[in-house]
Amino acid sequence: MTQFRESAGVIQTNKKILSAVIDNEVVLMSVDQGRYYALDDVASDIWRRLARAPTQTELINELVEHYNGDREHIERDVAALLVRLAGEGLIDVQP
Amino acid sequence: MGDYTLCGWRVRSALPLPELLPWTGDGRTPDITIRIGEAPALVDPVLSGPFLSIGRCGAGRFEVADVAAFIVRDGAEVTVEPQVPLDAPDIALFLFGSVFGLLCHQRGELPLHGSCVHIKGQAVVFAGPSGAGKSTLAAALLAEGHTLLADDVTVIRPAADGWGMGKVFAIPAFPRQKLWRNSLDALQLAAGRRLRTNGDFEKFEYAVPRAFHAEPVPLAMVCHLLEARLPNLPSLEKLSGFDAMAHVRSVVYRLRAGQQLDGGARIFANCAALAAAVPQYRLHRPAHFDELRAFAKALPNLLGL
Repeated sequence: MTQFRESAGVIQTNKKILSAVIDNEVVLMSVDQGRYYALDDVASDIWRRLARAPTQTELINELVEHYNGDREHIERDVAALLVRLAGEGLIDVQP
Repeated sequence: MGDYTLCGWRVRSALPLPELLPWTGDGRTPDITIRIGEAPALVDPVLSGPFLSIGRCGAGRFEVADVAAFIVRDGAEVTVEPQVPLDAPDIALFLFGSVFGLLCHQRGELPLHGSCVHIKGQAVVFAGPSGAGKSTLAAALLAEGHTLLADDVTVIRPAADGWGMGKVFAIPAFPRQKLWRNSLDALQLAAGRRLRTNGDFEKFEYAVPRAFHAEPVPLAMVCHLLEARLPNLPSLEKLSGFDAMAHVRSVVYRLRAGQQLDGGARIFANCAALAAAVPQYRLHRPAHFDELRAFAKALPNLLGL
């Protein structure tokens, strides 16, 4: 969990993960594990933003602006999502 | 030895295959060759089951006790080691079932477990697991004057420039259905050959020479069939997003064999592309045969065709 308190690292999608978009929903597949993942609307949006390999701070700034939301709330939700994505091996965080 | 047509392929077979239409296309070398020969167990398989094994090179072997063993290679070569006469219906049953499914996967095609009917210029696949009512509903639609593209397994193929709305086609297979005795009786159809020589498998051939559509047709939708358990349920529901894709994946024919070939990457991409390009619906069909004809009659309208 603590790694996502650091904001300097670049977050990248794992290039070995397959992705597809159906009706604006992002669906991912880990070929290594043979598992599928379905992302909801906001997670799908975040996944698309990760294509540009932002830092966590950049990502949060973008989201605060786009959703016009509460920064603390967004920071907490993003950290939780990134932990889950990293836990499944779907993203890499570069130091 | 004869040359036949299956899904646009030229099939040269040492087995008589009266199910298939003869090849009338160009002078190409056969796309698929079916031979009689030995079909020994694969060495060091990556998947090994009582019925199916897959080798490291992507070859597949099916063995059906007291019928035949089959080896399928490169999407092009089938070797049959029969234990019954070559024209026994049992061999054709597995040849047009699991062997056909594996050939499709080896060739990079997307085979769906579904029957496909041509309705007013568009193709509709009725998909679902065994017992869902795919073939029976297709037969009821043929009785209404629509035509068949494929029974039980339908190959879905994108246009040469890729998957896109209106550019996905259902590919004709052969003019024959497999129907249970009670479906034939309910629709007052005459049974053809019994599909298994022995045992109590009450499924029969039903030839549809005049109700076959032999050209690819744009695929309008896939209907995932469920038996209606409650009256007054909305009988047609649109599926979207991951739900639509998961439904497509659940009806990929011989999914496990297909996934062994490349870890599932191709099937993931094809299922996503199909779900994105072609509307997916859940369709509740009547539970009783006495409602079937009326349901088939009203169906094109319900589907907006």
